[in-house]
Amino acid sequence: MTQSPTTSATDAELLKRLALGEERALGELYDRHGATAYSLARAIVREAADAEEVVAEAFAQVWRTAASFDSGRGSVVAWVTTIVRTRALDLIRAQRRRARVLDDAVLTADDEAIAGAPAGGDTPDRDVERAEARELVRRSLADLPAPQRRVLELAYFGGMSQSEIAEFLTEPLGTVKTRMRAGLEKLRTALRPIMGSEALP
Amino acid sequence: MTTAWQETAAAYALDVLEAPERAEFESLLARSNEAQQDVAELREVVSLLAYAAPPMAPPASLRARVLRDAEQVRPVDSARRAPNASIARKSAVYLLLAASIVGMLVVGSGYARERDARLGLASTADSLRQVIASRDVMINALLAPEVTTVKLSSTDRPPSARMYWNRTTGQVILAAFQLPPAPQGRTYQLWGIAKGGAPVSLGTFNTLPTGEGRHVAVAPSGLTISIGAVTEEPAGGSPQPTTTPFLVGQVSQ
Repeated sequence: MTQSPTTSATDAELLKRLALGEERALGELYDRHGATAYSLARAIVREAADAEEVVAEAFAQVWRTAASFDSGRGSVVAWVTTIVRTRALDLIRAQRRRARVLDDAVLTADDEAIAGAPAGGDTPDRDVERAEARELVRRSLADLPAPQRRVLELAYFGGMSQSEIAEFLTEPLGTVKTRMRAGLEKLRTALRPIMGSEALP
Repeated sequence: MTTAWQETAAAYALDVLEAPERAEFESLLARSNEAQQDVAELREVVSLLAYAAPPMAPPASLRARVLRDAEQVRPVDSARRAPNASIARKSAVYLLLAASIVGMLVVGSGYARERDARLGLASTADSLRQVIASRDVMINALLAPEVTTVKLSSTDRPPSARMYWNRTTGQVILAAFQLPPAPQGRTYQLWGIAKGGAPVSLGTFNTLPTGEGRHVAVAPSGLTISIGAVTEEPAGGSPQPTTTPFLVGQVSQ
């Protein structure tokens, strides 16, 4: 990955340049968040080729629609990862792989995974901030009661609805609904310190 | 103790609410500040879950692919800034083929159909505000006086598509109907063809499982589109069409 001399620009500034058609800004945005986007796509679609397709299409969408990004509703990374997740879920739904088993190891890095956080390409401060946030998210999720964590993983990475999760786990629908809400509320409390940060998803 | 709407809000924030429930919840959302606040916070929590994916290094080729795709289509707002795209080599056989199909087409436009297309756009976006922002862009693009509507089809039967082309800004919006998503490893690609010119890529797109697809692009300035066409291509798209177009339409001059 190339380190750009203008890495001090915020994501929002990058996006403004991108909306004006500056391809270098797209390269910088990719250097910062491409690895996060790819990791997320892999966790959802599994196949490397599918994940590359999803990331390429997602960045193409970011490129085409940068002008419609509204900084008032969240960070640039959150916007990018939302697009990646939506496209990845569309893909697995289309492939009718919905009912496939998400093994318990979904959050365990396999041998292809790289150690630590993906390279940033941003200022060291923001890279560190992101690495710490990543660690807090992973720890907070790991700290949830297993049934709550499982419901959230099936919904977030599997795109499964509450009734699909209930069927998949052979649990009552009401139980699934309660666990989903309770899990998100616990995460909200645990992640409060990093919520609202511009540089984070 | 959580209430029913709070449990629905959790599924809504995770974007896994099924369509009828989602519509019902959105009407509640429109009336309740408390629910809006709740959803905004939960959405932020959900967006942080992206960091829970095991870190994987993307292949180096992916960066080049992202930048290559960007060269083919410019962002919506940059219509007047970017330089002309280089005109690729001619493809006479392709043009003849396209023209012969066009001969069989009914080319038309109508306000009602534009309105239907605009309403249809709302269902594909990621969230309410994103829907509104992108819909505004599209409505403005569709309502401009210099917009031409082109029906793209191969026969009178589905699939079909409607292309809106703003001659002044170069904005192109494609709405596809009853078109199943492209097979794995493949994508759809939109082409604009000037009289006597080679096809110019207007970007790749895919459709939803419902068969609906929306694609926004900006034609290179100086490209006077005479024919719009859609082909199926390998993932990532092609510099020139590699398959016969299955949706074609002629721009009425």
